[in-house]
Amino acid sequence: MDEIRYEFMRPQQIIAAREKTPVAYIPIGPLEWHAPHLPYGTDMLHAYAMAYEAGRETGGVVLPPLPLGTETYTEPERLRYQGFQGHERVMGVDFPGFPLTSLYVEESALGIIVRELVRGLKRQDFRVIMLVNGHGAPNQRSLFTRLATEESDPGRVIVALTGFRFVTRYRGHAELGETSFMLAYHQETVDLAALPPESTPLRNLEFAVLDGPTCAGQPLPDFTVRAEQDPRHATAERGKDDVAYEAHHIALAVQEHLASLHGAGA
Amino acid sequence: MAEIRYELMRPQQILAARDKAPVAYVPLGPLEWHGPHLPFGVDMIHAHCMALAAARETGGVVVPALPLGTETYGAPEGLRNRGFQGHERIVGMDFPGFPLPSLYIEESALGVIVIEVVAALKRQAFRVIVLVNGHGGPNHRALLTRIATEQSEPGRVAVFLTGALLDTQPRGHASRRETSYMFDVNPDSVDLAALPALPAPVRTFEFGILDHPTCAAQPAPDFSICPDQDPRRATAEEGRDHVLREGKSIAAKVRDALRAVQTA
Repeated sequence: MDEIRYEFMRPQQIIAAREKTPVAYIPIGPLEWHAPHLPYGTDMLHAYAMAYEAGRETGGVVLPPLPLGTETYTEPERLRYQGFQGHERVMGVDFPGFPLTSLYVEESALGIIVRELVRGLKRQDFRVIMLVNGHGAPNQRSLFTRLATEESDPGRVIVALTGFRFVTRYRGHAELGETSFMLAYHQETVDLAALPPESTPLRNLEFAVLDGPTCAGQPLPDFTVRAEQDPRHATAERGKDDVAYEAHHIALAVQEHLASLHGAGA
Repeated sequence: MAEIRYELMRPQQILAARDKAPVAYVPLGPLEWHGPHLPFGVDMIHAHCMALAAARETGGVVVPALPLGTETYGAPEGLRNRGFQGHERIVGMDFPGFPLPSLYIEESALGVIVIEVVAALKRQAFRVIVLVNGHGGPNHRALLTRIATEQSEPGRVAVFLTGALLDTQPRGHASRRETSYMFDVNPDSVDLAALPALPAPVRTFEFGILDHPTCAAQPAPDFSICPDQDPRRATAEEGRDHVLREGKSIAAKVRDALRAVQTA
């Protein structure tokens, strides 16, 4: 199979890949708390897996993952969904009492870097540039959405945002979906024994394991993780299947973008 | 061996590593032209390898490599040493006629993000933060040197720059040394057939390959690479050996820095 990992490609390989399929994937995700049972790189690794598998389907190049992401103080309503009072100052999933903070970076710093990379890829004549996001923070997604719009040149270059919360089956944090992914791709990093035994419900505030409905404003009355999204039920098979689903949907979007540029006579 | 790659570590593993050795390595290097025979990621891959080699000796954690680096227009003297007239506007290794520009980013953008990452590692109570650089751009190194100075807090946190041109000698670009790294790490990414066959000369301005004398302002009269730094002589064994020695050199500096902050 042809190499698609940009950092391992020689100039002529990059040019050949671009001439066949002018698509570049930029996987991005912060180094962030993912409960005691998952590693800090979950978002970035997930973004990379989605981008790599999509790249295998479409061709093009996949940049090395950017281990960067942003957060800001969570608004009162979302804090209450998670089980807080609503007046706390909580940055992302760095909940009070956790022993280690996340490596979030300032939103505008992230924006400048992503924009610089997108512009570099445009100078290299890539026509479809996919920001493959592994992180759910609202301000990260709105930043990338704005950048994608601003850096697209209608009829010539499409910059699009995809990944977490766009093509993923799960919308939670460190729950079944992310744990299944890590079991599938980096099994040795997962330690389910770091969570209580299965008979004990997982409280949001205790571990920052959040299920999808909680993130969507529908927590359980006791602010615990729903059984069907409990990370202790995760399997590698599910993780593999999820990434295949995500990558295929990203690849379909890429093919549509390419077709629209082709249709525009680009 | 205990995991040292930050992205694969759970919180308790990071805490345990930090409590034993509060050292965080931040490898970085741009995606850049490295002759037709090497891949674009040489600098970041090399930086990551050096950081891992050092961390295996000192403990601590290695953050994933940042695929980022900067360049600016080459100074006239440097251009003349590479076989140009001196008046050309050439950014880094993007010589005229090359078919693909490098993915350099603006110097101030790089500065902002490196400061953010360093600041976050300081919040995690790392006491020695090591910027492991894979790239020789003068403005890139000057930027990182300034950031290291500014972000250090004497007696509490040491931030310092190491790696390319500090722990790697001789200097050069895409020459024998960098080619040997890639032979070791990912031999499939090296294609010596993309260069002319020996003994034909490899000229600096033609391929963007620089040897130490060229970097030290003493190029060959025909601007060709000297035989002992010719990439066509590189082997995986020497690449492995270089990285091990570079890792040891960095580890020695880290131990000194650690001792200084801990005794303070």
